[in-house]
Amino acid sequence: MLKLIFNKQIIVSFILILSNSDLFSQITAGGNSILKFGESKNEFHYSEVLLNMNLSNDYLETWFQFEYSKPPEIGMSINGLRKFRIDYSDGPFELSVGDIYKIWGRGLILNQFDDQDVNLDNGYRGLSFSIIKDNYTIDLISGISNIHRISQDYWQNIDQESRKPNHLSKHSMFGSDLEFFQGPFSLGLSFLQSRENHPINNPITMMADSINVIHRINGLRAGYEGGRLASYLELSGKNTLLSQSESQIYKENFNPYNGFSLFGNINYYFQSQLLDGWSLTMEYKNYNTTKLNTSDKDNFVKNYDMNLIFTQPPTVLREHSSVFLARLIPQVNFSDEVGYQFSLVGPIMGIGYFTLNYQAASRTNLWGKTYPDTVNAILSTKWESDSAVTVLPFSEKSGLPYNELYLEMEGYIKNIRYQFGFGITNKIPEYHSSYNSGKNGVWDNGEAFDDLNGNNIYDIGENFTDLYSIVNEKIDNKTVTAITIPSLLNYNLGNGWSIDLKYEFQKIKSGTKYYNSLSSDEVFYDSNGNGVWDIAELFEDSNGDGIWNQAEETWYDLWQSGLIPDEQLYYYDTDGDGLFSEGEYFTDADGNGMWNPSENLIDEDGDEIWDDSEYLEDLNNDGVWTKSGVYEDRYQSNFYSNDSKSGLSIPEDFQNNHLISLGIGKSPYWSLSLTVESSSTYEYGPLKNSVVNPLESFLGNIIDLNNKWIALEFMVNINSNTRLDLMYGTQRGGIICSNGICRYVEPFDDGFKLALSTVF
Amino acid sequence: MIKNTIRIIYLLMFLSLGYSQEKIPNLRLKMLNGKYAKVNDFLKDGPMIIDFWATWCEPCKKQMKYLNIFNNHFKETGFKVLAVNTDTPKSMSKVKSYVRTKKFEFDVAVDPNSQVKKKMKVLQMPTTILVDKTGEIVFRHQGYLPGDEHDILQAIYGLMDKNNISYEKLDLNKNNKKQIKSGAEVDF
Repeated sequence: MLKLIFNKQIIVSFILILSNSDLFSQITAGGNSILKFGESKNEFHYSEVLLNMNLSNDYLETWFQFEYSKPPEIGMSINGLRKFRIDYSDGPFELSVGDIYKIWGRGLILNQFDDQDVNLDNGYRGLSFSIIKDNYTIDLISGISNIHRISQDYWQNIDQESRKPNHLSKHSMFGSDLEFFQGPFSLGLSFLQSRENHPINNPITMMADSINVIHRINGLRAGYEGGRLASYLELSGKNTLLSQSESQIYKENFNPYNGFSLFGNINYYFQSQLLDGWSLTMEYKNYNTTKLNTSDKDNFVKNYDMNLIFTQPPTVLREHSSVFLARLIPQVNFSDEVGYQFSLVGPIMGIGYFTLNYQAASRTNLWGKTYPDTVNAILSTKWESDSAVTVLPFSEKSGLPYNELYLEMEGYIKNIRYQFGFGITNKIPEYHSSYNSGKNGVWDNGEAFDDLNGNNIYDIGENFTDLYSIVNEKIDNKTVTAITIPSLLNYNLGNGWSIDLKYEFQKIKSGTKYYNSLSSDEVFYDSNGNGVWDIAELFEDSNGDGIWNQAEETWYDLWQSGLIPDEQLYYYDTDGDGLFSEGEYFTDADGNGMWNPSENLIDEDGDEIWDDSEYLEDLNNDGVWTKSGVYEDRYQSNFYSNDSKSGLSIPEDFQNNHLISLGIGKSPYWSLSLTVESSSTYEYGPLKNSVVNPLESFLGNIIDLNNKWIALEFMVNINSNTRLDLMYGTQRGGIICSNGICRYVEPFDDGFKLALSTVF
Repeated sequence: MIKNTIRIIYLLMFLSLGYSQEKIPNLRLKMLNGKYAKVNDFLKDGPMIIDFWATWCEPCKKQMKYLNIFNNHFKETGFKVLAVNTDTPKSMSKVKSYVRTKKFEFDVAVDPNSQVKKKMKVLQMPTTILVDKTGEIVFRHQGYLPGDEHDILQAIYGLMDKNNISYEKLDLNKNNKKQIKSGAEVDF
């Protein structure tokens, strides 16, 4: 039926009939288009055209959106009609057919939008009927929502560039919303049900599969709008059911959680003489609709009860226009997060407006790994949490805490608009825990034994059940701490001319903390009875140093393998004969000061490393025998610099980032800006080093280009309805977030972007 | 498939050529206080400016102080400014405090999932649309560069003159100075 309704030929016929009817006697038509094109040397290409067409009169409004892309900047390639909708309204009645986006309350139940920056379109195709009166509104919806998402947890069709979605969930949904208004008060009631077909990995076959899930959400909200005070509270309850017909393995694999979401805010406007113009805003969130351990926190594929992507409640986070601060905003988990925010804003003695904003958040539970004593931990550990509902965010690491303090002053001094900010950010984005355990090989009190002589005492030689008693604990967590200072100056020169100067500084510490401990010594088989763990693999000790030496490499070997660039050869080949000579650089692996050729090794376990030989139960997997105790409690930075002489990476605790943007504009015609971003260190992870472009080569005569991203942007208003944006250069990749949803963006190296937008 | 789509585009363009009048659709708007209004409700007394903005948009904020000046200066003529905020509901409570703290006197509507923005063909933030009393769009401006306020002011004068509405000329620099004395804005 829906397919019939949405057949394109029928739509065209519908428009033709209506265009000749009286309804269209006062028709207004128009539209807009956006053309986007980008090409870079790191193969980040896109080409897309988006065309919106609108027709409307007093009763009817139609909207058609066409897309032609190959490929788009992000998302699926589409060529043809992408979206359409026909809205009919008459007095208090509204009827819509097509692609519909609705918001009820603050989105704890339904908040639909098409956000192309993060490639999330959670609208539905179907019908909507509304009655809107002065003191109440009624909204009924029904339709199908096909939601495309990118997930590395779904093992099918993974796109290496993270641009093309690989997970499609289909929601057949219906619901209703009622809202009442009485003076300054409002009250709302909502119900929504979705029958979802959810793609999932089959835990046995590891192949693609899908399950049918039912989500039901009920909600209640209330608001008050007073002169000095405004407040709002919304509560929803969620219930997820796995269809009875689904295989038992999915029921065993994951048990859906039924929980609630709560959001509230209070705005207070000061009216005293001292604080005239000041306001205080407080927001609170407690999203408790699933329970996810820290390893599974973003895995909506397996944890199908968190896949209510059409619920998008408030983030309770400040949206920053600062580039560096925006990069630190965490991904909000709309199913499992508790937090608050307060913001104090007001004028200060005629010099500008001051803002103080503090926000904190964490998961709703603390998680830890547990296992039964005396059994193999690696097979029996599982995540467990305290099931109590928390009111305030945690500061413990397993709660993945986040907080940010931000201060800002903005205003005008003569023709200069200024804005200075200061932000301190702390967050623990990841937390991992694992246990391993082993047997100690001796009889301990409580262990069962065959009492061969019947003396009720364990005697040497009697068989016994050796229980697991040695425990290895490993915990690691990522940590980020940053200070950010954004600033902006805008000077109005008059006659339409203006200049902009934007400068941002950030000092950031990012890395991983490791904790590793062993409850008892590791056990080994003492083959020669000397009481110490002995090395086993045989080697031919050609240099007689008693240690097996790997082949040490000369500078010639390193140059051959490309590790030493040609332009640095003079530094290594000191006599210039093109060959390794005595006194020239080599990797002195054993530190004996002599270059050693490779010694022959009988590699018993085939790992190409010389290993100790006596049997070892290597619980911590470090390759050597280890005594009990905390033997690893260290921090590894995420940043490093390159030593120009050796080419080796040197860990750096801090990274200093700078962003300078200088712009000039002539109102209302054009503006031009040059943006230079620089970083003091490199970063482990998916970020790639920048390719030097001609613009950078030119600027390289003025500034050091190491680890910099430089781009030139030009905007011209061709006329009041047409605008052209051009960008040439390099842009740093990384995480971008929009309204609590984040995605990784590939760097854009030595390329250009064009965007032409037209309204007609 | 592509041929059909091209046919639809041609058809729509043909229709737009035949009937095109730059008229603002009489859309239903949700106001900041949660109640509803229609665009034509604001046109009863005179022309209006519809401005699309968001709290994260710095150029929008720069422009809004001038829109407030226009709203206050021309209100005797029936002229109004309607600012449509496009923040998502995720940051709605900050919108209220921003408007109150800045003491903006114009009406504010909210468009949290950008449906009004789409229907009014808005592509850039901010977008400023000047509409006469009959609902016809007489001026549209995308983005904001310092100095654009003078173009918007000229467009308002042009509309007032065309419709024979008497008004007092506005000196933006003088108005800024007046605001310092009242302490409402910091611009000296």
